[in-house]
Amino acid sequence: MPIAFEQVGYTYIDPKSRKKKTRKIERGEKAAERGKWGTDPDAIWALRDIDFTLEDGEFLGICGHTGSGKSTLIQHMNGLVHPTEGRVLVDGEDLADKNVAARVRTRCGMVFQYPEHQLFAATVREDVSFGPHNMGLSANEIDERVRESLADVGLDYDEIAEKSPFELSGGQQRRVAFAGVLAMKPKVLVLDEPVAGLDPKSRREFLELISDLHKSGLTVVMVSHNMEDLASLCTRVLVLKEGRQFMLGTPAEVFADAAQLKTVGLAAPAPQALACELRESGFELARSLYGVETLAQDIAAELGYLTAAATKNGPAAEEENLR
Amino acid sequence: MRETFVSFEEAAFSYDGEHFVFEELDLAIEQGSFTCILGGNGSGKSTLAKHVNALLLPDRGTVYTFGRDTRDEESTYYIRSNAGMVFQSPDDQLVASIVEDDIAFGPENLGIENPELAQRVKSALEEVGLQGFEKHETTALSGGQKQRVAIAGALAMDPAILILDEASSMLDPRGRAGLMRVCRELHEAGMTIIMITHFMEEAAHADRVVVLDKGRVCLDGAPSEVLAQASELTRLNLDVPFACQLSIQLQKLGVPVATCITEEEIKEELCRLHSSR
Repeated sequence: MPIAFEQVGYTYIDPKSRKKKTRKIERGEKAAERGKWGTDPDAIWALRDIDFTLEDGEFLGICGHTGSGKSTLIQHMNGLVHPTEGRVLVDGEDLADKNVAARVRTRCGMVFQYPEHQLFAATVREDVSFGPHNMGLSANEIDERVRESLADVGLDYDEIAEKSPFELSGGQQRRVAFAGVLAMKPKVLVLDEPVAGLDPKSRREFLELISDLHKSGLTVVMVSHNMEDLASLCTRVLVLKEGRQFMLGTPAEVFADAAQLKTVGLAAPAPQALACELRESGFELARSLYGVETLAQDIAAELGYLTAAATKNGPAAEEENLR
Repeated sequence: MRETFVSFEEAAFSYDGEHFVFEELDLAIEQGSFTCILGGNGSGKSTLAKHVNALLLPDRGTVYTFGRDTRDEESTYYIRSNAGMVFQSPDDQLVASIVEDDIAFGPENLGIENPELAQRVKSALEEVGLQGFEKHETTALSGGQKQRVAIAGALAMDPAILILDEASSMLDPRGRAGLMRVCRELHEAGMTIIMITHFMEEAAHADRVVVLDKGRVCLDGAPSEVLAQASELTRLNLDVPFACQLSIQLQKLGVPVATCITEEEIKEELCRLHSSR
C-alpha cells in the first residue's frame, strides 16, 4: 500500500479567509511589512512541496524541529487532513475522496503522542475491541484479534483483559493503546513520538517491539527527536524544515553532515556527531555512518592500537560502510 | 559550613500500607548543591520529591526540610513557600491564561503586594529568559516555554530550593537544553536544585548524582564516579552515557582512555592521544 505525496501543501488557515489573505499578500508586501502575517508570505504554510512516496515495507523516520510540520504531515497519511495543494495517493487512489479515506483509515494505523491519554473504556478488552468492532467484525473475530494484538505487545490476555486500563502502569497503558491500533491489522503503522516520556527500559522494549513489527512486514513511519533511534532503526529518514523537505535519504546520507543538521536545530546521533568533530581535529574516519562500536574500532585503528586480528573480526557492520 | 536543607532519616512510605516505595531511606541534600536523582520507573524518585515539600508524609522515620519536620503541620506553610516544585507535564501546571498572571499566582498567595509582586514577576521572567512574554497567552507557548513559565512561577515565590520532577521529559532537545541552561544559571547564582530525570546528559552536568533502585540509594557521588559505572547502570535499567560507552569500547580495544562521561571529555582525551601519536 504505497502512499504517494504529490507536491503537497497544507495551511491551517480557514479556506474562506485564506483567499482574502492570499490575495492581500499577493497585492503587495505592505501587509507583510505591518507584520500582520509575519514577514514571510510562506509562513501561512504548515507544509509546502512535499513530494515522496512511502514504499511498502520501509521504515521511514521523520524528524524536524518543533513546528516543522511533522504531525501535520503524518495526518495526511490516512486522510485526517487533506492537502490544500497537491494530492496524496494511496494505491493510486486520491485520499481526498471520502470513500477512499474511510477504507484506508483501518489499514493505516495511527498512534498519536501519549496514546495512553486516549484510553477510554472500562476494561482493556473493550478498549482494544473498539477498532475491530467499528470495522464490523464478528464477536469471534474481535475476540481473536484482541488476544493476538495483546500478545503482540507483550501483554498477557488472561491477566489483563478484564482490568481497567487506568490501573496499569504508564508503560502498560501505552502497550494497550498500541494493541488497540494493531487489532485493526493495519498495513502501515504511523507512530508519533512513540517512546517519549518512557524510562530507558520501557523505551528499549518498545523500540524492539516496533522493530519486530517492521520485520513482520509492516510499513512503519516514526516521528522522533531521538536521532540514535532513527539511525539504528530506519531505512529512510525525512528531515523537515519549516514545512519543507529538507533532507530525504538513508540514515547514512542524512546523518553524514552534522553541520547541515545543526542548521535546523537537530543534532546528529552522538557517535556520528563525535566522528564529525574528530575529523575536524585531523582524525581520518572513513565510514559515512557511525555507531558506538564502529566508531571505537576506527578510532583505535587510527590511533594505532587495533591489532590485525581485531580488524579481521571486527567490522561486522561492514554494510554500514557505504563508501 | 553548608547547611543541610533536606534530610531523609530512615524514612518509609507506602501508598497502600502494604507495598513500601521506600523503607529506611537516608539521604541528605546540602544548601547550594545541584543533585540529580536517577532511577527507573517505580524506583521511588517522584515519591521522594513529593516528600521534600510535604506533599507526601513518611509513614515511618522523618523527613526534615530546612531543619523542620515535614509532619509538623505548622511548618507545612513555611516549607511549601520555600520549596518550589515543577512537574512533568507542561500543560497540567499552568493556572492562568496570561503568562504574568500565572507567575504572579504563587507570590500573590503568599500575600506579596505590588510593586514588589510586579518586580518579582519581572525578575522571574528574566531568570528563565522569557523577557517580553508577560502578556502572552500560556496556551500559545511551546512546551519548553511552558516549563520555563512554570519555573518562573516557582522562582517568583523566592524559594530556597527548586525541585524538578522529570520537568524535561516531555520537551524536545532544544527545549531540554534551554531548561538545563536555566537550571545551571540558577545553581551558579546559589539556588539549591534537586532534579529528577531519565536523561544522562542532564545528570552529567549536576554536581551530585543519586541513583535510586527499589526505594534505596544504590549509587551516590559525583557524576564522573556514578555515570562511569556502566555495568551497574545497565543492571538498573538505566542508559549508559554515550561517552562512557565509547570509552569502554576503546578500552577493550587497548586504547588507554579514562572512562569519560561527557563528549567534551572524550574528545579531549582522543585529541591528546592523536597528537602524541
